[in-house]
Amino acid sequence: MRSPSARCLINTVDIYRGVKGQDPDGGYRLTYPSLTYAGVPCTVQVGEFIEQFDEQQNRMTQALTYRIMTGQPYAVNARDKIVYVDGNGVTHTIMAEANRDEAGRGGAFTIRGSETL
Amino acid sequence: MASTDLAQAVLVQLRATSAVANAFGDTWNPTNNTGVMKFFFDWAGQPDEPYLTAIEAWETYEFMTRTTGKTLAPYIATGQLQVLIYQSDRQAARALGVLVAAALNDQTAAIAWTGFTLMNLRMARAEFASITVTGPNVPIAFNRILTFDYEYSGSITEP
Repeated sequence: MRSPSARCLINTVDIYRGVKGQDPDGGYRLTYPSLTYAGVPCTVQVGEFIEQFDEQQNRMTQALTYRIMTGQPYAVNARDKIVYVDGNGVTHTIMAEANRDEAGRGGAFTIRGSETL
Repeated sequence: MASTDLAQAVLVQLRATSAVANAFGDTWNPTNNTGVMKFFFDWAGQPDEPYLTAIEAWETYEFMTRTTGKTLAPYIATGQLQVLIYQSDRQAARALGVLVAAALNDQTAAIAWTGFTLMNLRMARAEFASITVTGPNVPIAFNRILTFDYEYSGSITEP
């Protein structure tokens, strides 16, 4: 897959690397002390969007799935935080789930993430 | 305004206990329907962590003998109330559980609803449930579950 042209990469996101840790109670903890990649040029596409009952958290949830395509590889791990401000000025906090090199050709890279509201 | 049932009385008590309300960030005013709602029964709307949901898990009833010619059947109900606390930090979830237990344990005078008398309410069990999902704006969520035993007296009118 070819690298997307700059004309396609009309959005920007900030990516915060999750720093692994543990609270004093032994609970797994991720913190985001610093901005890892600022203003990453990309195209942000909302995929699945749904209201569902989250049985694990006993709450109603609006769940949105995102695909964020970039022209450069970024080392994004699961549950890294991606902050995206849309065209209406609404800030979205997206948790990264996985990323891939499209077709393995080193041209286009997609990060899959999710937002829960 | 007097509460009408156990669930409402418990919510009133949690909101009246400033240490609990402040720790969760609950500012809900049920009279005006304003503020931030963090305490729920059965299931939650779309709150951010921390929040809690409470469940009336079960009740059993022991009816007393009616007096001849009377229609009022008094009973004692025994049951369990579960409080499920959701927080993005495990230690903080435990600490919130301690606050909730302190707010509810033996508060038989404060937790009142019309026509009934709470005789006993005390935490009997606590645990962490294993959950792996992300919450709203947080990467991880923890679930502290408190189980309270309770007993109250009431009555129903039978023909």
